[in-house]
Amino acid sequence: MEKDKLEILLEKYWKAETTLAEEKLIKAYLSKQAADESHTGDKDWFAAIQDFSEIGHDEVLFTIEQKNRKSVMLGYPVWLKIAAVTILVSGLTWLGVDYNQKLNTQLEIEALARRTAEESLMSMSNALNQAYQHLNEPTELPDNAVTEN
Amino acid sequence: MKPIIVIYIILLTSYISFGQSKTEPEQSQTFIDLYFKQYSDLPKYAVNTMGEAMVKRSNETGMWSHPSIARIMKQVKTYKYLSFDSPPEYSKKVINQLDAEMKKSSTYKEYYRWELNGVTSGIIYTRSNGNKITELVNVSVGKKKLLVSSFLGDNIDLESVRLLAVGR
Repeated sequence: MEKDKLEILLEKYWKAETTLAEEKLIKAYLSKQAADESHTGDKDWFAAIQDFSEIGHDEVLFTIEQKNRKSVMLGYPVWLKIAAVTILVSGLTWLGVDYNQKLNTQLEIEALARRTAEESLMSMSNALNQAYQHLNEPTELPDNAVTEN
Repeated sequence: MKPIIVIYIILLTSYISFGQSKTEPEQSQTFIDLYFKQYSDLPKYAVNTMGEAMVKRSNETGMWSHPSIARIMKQVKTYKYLSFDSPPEYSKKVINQLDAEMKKSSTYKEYYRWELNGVTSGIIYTRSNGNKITELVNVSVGKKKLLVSSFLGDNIDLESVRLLAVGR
């Protein structure tokens, strides 16, 4: 088939005016002219129809291409799971120990402050008692003391 | 206009000269803040404060070792203490410095001093508001350390403190 005739047939095809026999002619011609760079769009179209018919579809279905959504990979390697669990357990243990240490330090500081307060109060109390005792005790007069009598 | 400016200048000068109290410390300042900040460079200089909340919690949870102490601490709002390393010679110097400061102070009064072999072992100072003691200070001179305790309250009963050691 000459190129001019093909052009006419293709024009008729895209206007949906061709017969089945004419479509077969186009298909046969285009499949033979695989190396030819002309009519590449038409070739792809007829090749696609051929492919669909070979896989058992009688009609061409047009579908809208959807962008692939990223899915979360659920199957982690075992070593990664072990590492994650180890890190989590270590972190929680460290947090617990750290909190406990801080709490103990705080309690020790409070206990020390209370002990210091008590010791200071006791020290003042002892001193004041000694002072009161000395004030109430009769003291001996020195030998060289001068008395009124 | 001129007389007004002159009056303003006189008022401003009067405020600067007499309006600012130079000797009276703020109520929140303690004996430690006033007389011991100058020693803050000394080794192991440490100030600790039991705030009102901590004193209150200690009172409420019965953390004091004796009911008599708990009774006194109920009169106390804040307890602050300071300690630092101080050999006997340096402690003597600090006490002399303190004595000199006390001569100038009208806020604190020396309540009692005890000495051993002519060396000061401890001094009790009080700060009062009328007849009420609002701060009780104990300066205790140790062999290697100097400890200053400051008890702040609205009305601290000294007799309760004296009776603490009686019958124990």
